[in-house]
Amino acid sequence: MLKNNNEAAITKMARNSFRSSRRRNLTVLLAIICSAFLLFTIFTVGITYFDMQRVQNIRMHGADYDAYLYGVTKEQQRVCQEDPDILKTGIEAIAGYVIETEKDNTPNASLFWMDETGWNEMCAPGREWMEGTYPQKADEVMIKRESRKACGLEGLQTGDTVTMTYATKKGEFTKTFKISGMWDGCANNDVIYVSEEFYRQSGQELSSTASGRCMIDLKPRFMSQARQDALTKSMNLGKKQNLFFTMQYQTSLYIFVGILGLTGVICLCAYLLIYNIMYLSVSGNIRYYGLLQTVGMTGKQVCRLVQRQMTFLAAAGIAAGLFLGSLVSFFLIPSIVKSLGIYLGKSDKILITFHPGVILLAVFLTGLTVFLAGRKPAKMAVMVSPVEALGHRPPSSRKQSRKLKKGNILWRLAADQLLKDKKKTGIVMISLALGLSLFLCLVTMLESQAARTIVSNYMDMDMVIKNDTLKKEDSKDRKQLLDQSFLAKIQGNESIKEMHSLLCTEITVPWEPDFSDIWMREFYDMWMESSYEDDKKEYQEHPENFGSFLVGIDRIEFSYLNASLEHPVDETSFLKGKTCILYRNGLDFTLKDLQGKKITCAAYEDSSNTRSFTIAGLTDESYYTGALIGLPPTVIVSEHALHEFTESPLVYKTSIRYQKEYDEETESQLTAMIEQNPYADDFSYESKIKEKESIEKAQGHMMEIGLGMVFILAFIGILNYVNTIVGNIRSREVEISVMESIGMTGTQVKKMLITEGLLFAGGSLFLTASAGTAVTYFLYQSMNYRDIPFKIPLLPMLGATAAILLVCTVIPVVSYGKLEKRGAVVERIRGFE
Amino acid sequence: MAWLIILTVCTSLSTAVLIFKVRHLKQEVYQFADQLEESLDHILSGKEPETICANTDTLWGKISEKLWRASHVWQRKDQEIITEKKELEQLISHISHQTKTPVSNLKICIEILHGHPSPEKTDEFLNIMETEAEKLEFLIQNMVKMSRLETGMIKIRSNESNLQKTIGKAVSGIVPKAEKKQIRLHVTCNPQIQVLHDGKWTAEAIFNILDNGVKYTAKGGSVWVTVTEQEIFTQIAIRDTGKGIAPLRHAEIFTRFYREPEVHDQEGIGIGLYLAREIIELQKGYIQVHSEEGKGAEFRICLLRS
Amino acid sequence: MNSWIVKTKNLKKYYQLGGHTVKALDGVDFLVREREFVSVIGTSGSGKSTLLHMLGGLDTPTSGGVYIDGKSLGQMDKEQLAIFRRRKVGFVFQNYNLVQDLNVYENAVLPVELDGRRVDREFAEEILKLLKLQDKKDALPNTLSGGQQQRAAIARAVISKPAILLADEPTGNLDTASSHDVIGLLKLAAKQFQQTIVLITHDNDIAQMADRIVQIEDGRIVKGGGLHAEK
Repeated sequence: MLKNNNEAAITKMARNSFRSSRRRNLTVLLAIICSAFLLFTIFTVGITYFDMQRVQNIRMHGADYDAYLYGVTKEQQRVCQEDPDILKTGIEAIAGYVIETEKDNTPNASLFWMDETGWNEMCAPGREWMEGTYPQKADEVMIKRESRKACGLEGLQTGDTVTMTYATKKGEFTKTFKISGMWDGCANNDVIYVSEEFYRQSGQELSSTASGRCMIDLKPRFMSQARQDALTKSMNLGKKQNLFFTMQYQTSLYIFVGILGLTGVICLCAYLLIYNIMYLSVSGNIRYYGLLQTVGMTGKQVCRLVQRQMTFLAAAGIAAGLFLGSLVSFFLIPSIVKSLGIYLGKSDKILITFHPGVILLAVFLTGLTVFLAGRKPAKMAVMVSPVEALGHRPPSSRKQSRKLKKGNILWRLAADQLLKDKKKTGIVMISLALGLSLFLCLVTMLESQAARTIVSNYMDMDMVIKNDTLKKEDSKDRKQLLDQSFLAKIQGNESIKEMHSLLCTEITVPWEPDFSDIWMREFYDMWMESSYEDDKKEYQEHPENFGSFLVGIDRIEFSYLNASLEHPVDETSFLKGKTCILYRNGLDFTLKDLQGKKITCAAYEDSSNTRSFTIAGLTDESYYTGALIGLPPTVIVSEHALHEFTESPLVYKTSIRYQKEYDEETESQLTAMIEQNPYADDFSYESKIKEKESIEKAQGHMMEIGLGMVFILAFIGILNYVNTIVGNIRSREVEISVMESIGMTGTQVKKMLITEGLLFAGGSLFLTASAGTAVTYFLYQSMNYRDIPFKIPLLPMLGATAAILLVCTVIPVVSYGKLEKRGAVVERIRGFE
Repeated sequence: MAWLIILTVCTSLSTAVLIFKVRHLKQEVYQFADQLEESLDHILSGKEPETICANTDTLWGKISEKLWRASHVWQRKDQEIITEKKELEQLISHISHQTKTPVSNLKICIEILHGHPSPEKTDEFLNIMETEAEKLEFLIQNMVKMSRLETGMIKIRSNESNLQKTIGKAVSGIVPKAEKKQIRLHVTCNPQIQVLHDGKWTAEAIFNILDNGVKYTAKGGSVWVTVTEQEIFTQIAIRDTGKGIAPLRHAEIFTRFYREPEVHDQEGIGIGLYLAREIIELQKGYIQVHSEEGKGAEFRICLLRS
Repeated sequence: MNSWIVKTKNLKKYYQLGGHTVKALDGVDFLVREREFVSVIGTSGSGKSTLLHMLGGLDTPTSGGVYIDGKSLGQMDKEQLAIFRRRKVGFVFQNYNLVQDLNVYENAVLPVELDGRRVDREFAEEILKLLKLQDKKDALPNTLSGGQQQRAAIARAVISKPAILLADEPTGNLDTASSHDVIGLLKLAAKQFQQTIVLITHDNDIAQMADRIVQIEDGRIVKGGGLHAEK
C-alpha cells in the first residue's frame, strides 16, 4: 500500500515544537553534541593509539611482535605454526658475547643470530637503512652502523674484517670476521648479528632460555588475560621458560576495555538525560498528545512526531559533535596518545588516524542512544488515551491512604517529593552519580600515576650515583670511585640534606648442607640451564667461582628497608651485626624456610676471613644489592658489620637527598662533579628530576583532558538535574502556591527545596561512594602494575562534593525565585486553570 | 583504503535499497490504479464503492474515503430530487385541498346570487365572498411566495441597512391585527443598529413570527420585540404571552404545513414559520424558539453582524 | 440507503471504581439522522460525555455497538479509530483544546494536514471568515478570548468536512452571550457544510437551539432517543 503523504504535517509540528520547547531541545542537543564529541574523540584516540602502538613497538624492539618467548623447543615452534592466532614467528638467539675487539677491550656487544622470518619480515619495519647482506657464513657478521663504537668496531665499513675475542658456550675464541653488511634503524643497539652456521657452532640450543628467543606476531590486536593464559598454556612452557607479552600488547586490552567502559558511560549518561527530558516533556504534555490523537493523529504519527524531533536534534547534534571532535582531535589526540604510553622520538609526530569506521561508529552509537532514549517516551505518548488526556491533571499519588510519618515537616515534604516519582529521582541520581564516579575514577587513576607518586625510588631520594666499575666481572677492574674525597665533596655541599652510601664487598658463600645447599638447589632450579648436581662439586671445591656480595647499609637505610619487610627484623641484633637480610632474588623461598638459619660468608680474596649471620629477613627490594647478583644470596648486613668484616668495602652507590626537593641547581652541581671526574664514564646516576620530567612528558595533558571529559559528563548529569528540578518546580507551581497560601513562608519553601536538592546530592554521593568507589577500586587494581596502594585523592573529591552540593541547592532556589517573580500566590493558583 | 571500502559498501547498500524501493513503488502504483479503477466502476454502475481500506493511513485509504463520500453525495442528491418531487406533489395536493373550500364557497355564493336573493342576503353573501376571496388571495400569495422561495426564485439581496426600519415595516403590518385583539406591542431597538440583511424579506419573516404570536396570544396579551447585539450575531427576540409550544414540537413548528393540532379551527396553512426560517437561513442567520407550554414563546432571529 | 448517520445499539459502558461498578451507559439506543442537530442533555455524571466519547471512537464500549455511516467502530483498532476521527469526526470541547504552539489557521487545518490532504486555502479562509476569525488567523490561541478560541476549535472541527460534529459542552467555559454566538455559528457552519451535530450540554437554553433534544439520565435515554423522530 502506498503510504499516505502526510509527512509534511508531522515535520511542521516537529519544527514547531522547537519554537515552543527551546529549553528542552537545547538540553537534548547539548547532550547529543557532548556524547557524539566524546565518542568520536575517544574512538579516534583508541584507533590512533593502536596504530601508534605498533610503531612504538617497532621502535622499542626493532621488530614487530606482540609476544616474546624465552627458549623455544621444536614442539613449541610447531605449536606456533599451527595456532591460528599466531601470524608468524621469528627466531632470535644469543650465540655469545664479545669480550674484546681490536679497538676496545670492554665492548658491550652480544652475538645474535636471527632467522629469515625474523630478519626479513619482523625486523623489516624497524630498519631504515641497510647495505650488504645478512651473514651467511660462519665468519660473517653484521652490525648496526650507529652502534659500531659501542661494539668496539668503530670506523669499520662493510666488507672490512675485524678480529674479535668472543665467548660462546664452548669457551673463548679469537677469530677474524668479515662485515657482510650494515643496517640502521630502531633498537638492537649493541648486537652483532651472526650467521646460522656460527650459531650452530656456538653450541647454544634454541630450547635454552639463555639463548633462544621466539618473536611472536599475534593476529588479534589484543587478547583477554584468559586467552593470553590459554596461549601460554598451549606452549607448554618449561620451568625456566617464559612467554612475555609486550607491555603494549597487555595495555591494549586495558585501553580497549577502558574505551568500551567510557563509551558505555557516555552513552548511558546521554541516554539518561535524553530519556529523562523526553519523559518529562511527554508526561508534561499528556493533554497535547491526547488532543492530537483526538484530532485524528494515529499512534504511528505521534511516534513519528517524537522521533522526528529526536532525528532533527540527533542530526544536528551529531554533526556538531563530530565537527568539534575532529577539530579538537588535532590538538588533543597527540598528547592523549602520548600519555597512554606511546613514546616516539622527538622528530616523530603522532599521526592521527581518522578512520571512517570511527565516524560511522560514533554516529551509530549516538544515534542508537538517542533512538533508545526517545523510544520509551514516544511509546508513552502513543499510549496516552485521548479520553484521559481530555480530563488530565498531573497524576497524584496512586496510594489510597498514607501513613502518618514523623519528623520535620519540611524534610517529610521533601522526601515525599523524591519518593513520588522514584524512577525520575533514580535517573537523576544515577546521572549525577555517573559524572561523580567517573571523576572519582579518573582522578584516582591519574593521581596514582602522577609524576610525584610514580617517580619516587626506594627511599625517595633525589639522586642515586652508581659506580659502574663494580659491575666488572674481574675484581681488578673495580675501583673505588665514590671514595672518601668524592663523598666528602658531596657532603660539603650546603644544599645536600643527607646521603647514604651503599657499601659492598665480594664474598663467597662456602658450601654447607644446612643453608647454602638448599639455596643453590633452588637457584639452579629456577634460573640455571645446567643442573645443580653437575655444578655442586665445583661449588663445594671452588666457592670463589660463585661470588656474591655482602652489602652494608646504614641505620637509616635499615629502617626504611625494615619498614618494607613483611616480617620486620629486630633492629639491635641487625645493627650489631648478628643478623642479616637476604635478597630473595625471585626464588620460591618464604621466610619460614630460612629464618634462623646461619649463613656463612667468606671474603672473596681471603677465604679464611669468614663470618656468620643469622637469617632474619627476606626482601624483594632490589635496591640493596651489590653491583652484581651472584648465584649465592646477596647478604644485607649493617654497615658496621661490613666494616668489621672487611677493611676496604667498596661504595657501590650513594643516594643523595637535597635540602630542597627537585633542586635543579644542586643537581647540576652534582652532575658537574661527575663530569669532572676522570672516570666520568664509569659513573651513572638516576635522578628524580630526570625521571619526573620523562614521566611528566609522557603523561602530557592527561589530567587536563581527563578532567575535561569528566566535566563534560558531569555537565550532562547536572543538565539532567537542572532540567528535572526546573520542570518539577514548574509542575508543582500550584502545589507550592497552595502551600504558600496556607501560610508557608518563602523561606520555608526554599528550605524544602534545598532539602530536596540535598537529598538528590546525598543520593548521588552515596552511589558514588559505594558503587563508584567499588568500580574505581576494581579498575585501579586491574591496572595496578606497580602495586601502589589504593588511595582516593581526598581534596578533588571534597571539591566535587562541594560542587555537587552547591549545584543541588542553588538550582531549586533559583528556579523558585523565578516562580516567585511570576506574581502573587492567588494569581499563580488561578494561572493554572 | 578503509575509506574506500566503507564508501563502496555504503554506496552499494544504498543502491540496493533504492532499487528495491523503486520496484516496490512501481508495484504499489499499479495496485493503486487498479483499486481506483475498480471503485470507479462500482460508482458508475450505481453501487457504493468498497471501503475496506478507508480507515488506513494510506493514500488509497484517503482516496477511497473521498470516493465513497462523493458517491454518497451524488446518491443523496438523487434522493433529494425524488423527495422534492414528492413534496411538490404534496404541495399541489395541499394547495388544491386548501383552495377547495373557499373556491366552492365562492361558487355557492355566486350560485345563490344568481338567484337574486334579497338585498340583505346579497350583502351577506357578498361579505362572505369577500372573506373567501381574501382567504384565497392570502393562500395564493403565500403559496407563490413559498414556491418562489423553494425554487430559488427569490433573490435575497443583503445590504448594510438600518434594522429599526425593517422591524418597523414588519410591526406596522401587524398593528391592525393586534389592535383587533387588544394586544400591546413593545419594541425595543437601538435606532443606530445596522445589519447586513435584506430589508424586504426580513420584514416578511419578522411579520410572520409576529403574526404567529398575535394569533396564539389571547386578548389583552403583549408581544415584545427586543433587539440585542452580541459579539457575532444581532438578535431579534419576539416574545409573546401566548399559550406556548411544547419543547417536543420546537423542531416541528418550522416544517411546512405544520399546524398545532389544537388550533385546526384557526385560519392559516402552516407556512409562516417555515418561510421565516428559510428567509433567515438564506441570510446566514438562524431562528430558534424558546418556549414551554403555557408560558408564552420567544422566537429569536439571529443575524450575523457585519 | 440508510439515512441514519449515527446509530448505537444497546450501548453499555461500565467502569470499576472503588470496588463497585459504575454504569456510565446502560443500554443506549441512539439514532441521529444525517444533517440533524441533536443535543444531548443531562446532569453531570449522567453518561452524556461517555456517549459522546463512544461516538467519536475515543473510548471503547463494554458491550453493544456504535455505527457511524454504517460502519461499526467496534471492529477498528486504535490506528483505524484515529484515522476514522480525522476523516469523519470533528470535535469541539469545553476547554477548546487547541494546540498552543500553532496559530489559529494552523490549528484549523491540522486535521487536514494530518491526513496529508490538500489544504483548500480558499475554503479555510471562507470558514474563518464565517466564524469571524479572519483577523485572528495568525494569532496564537493564548492571545484569544474564550469565545474566539472556541470558534477556532469549531473551524478546526468543520474544516476537514467531517460527516459529524461532536461537541462536548462547548459553551461550558463561556458567558451566555458568547455561548449563543458559538452555538449559532456551529449551527450555521453545520448547515452550510451539511454536517450532523451531536451536542452535549447541561444547559437547557443551549439545548433548545438543536433540532431535537435527547435527555439522558443515569446512563439511559429517558426522552427523545430517536424513537419519536422515527418515520
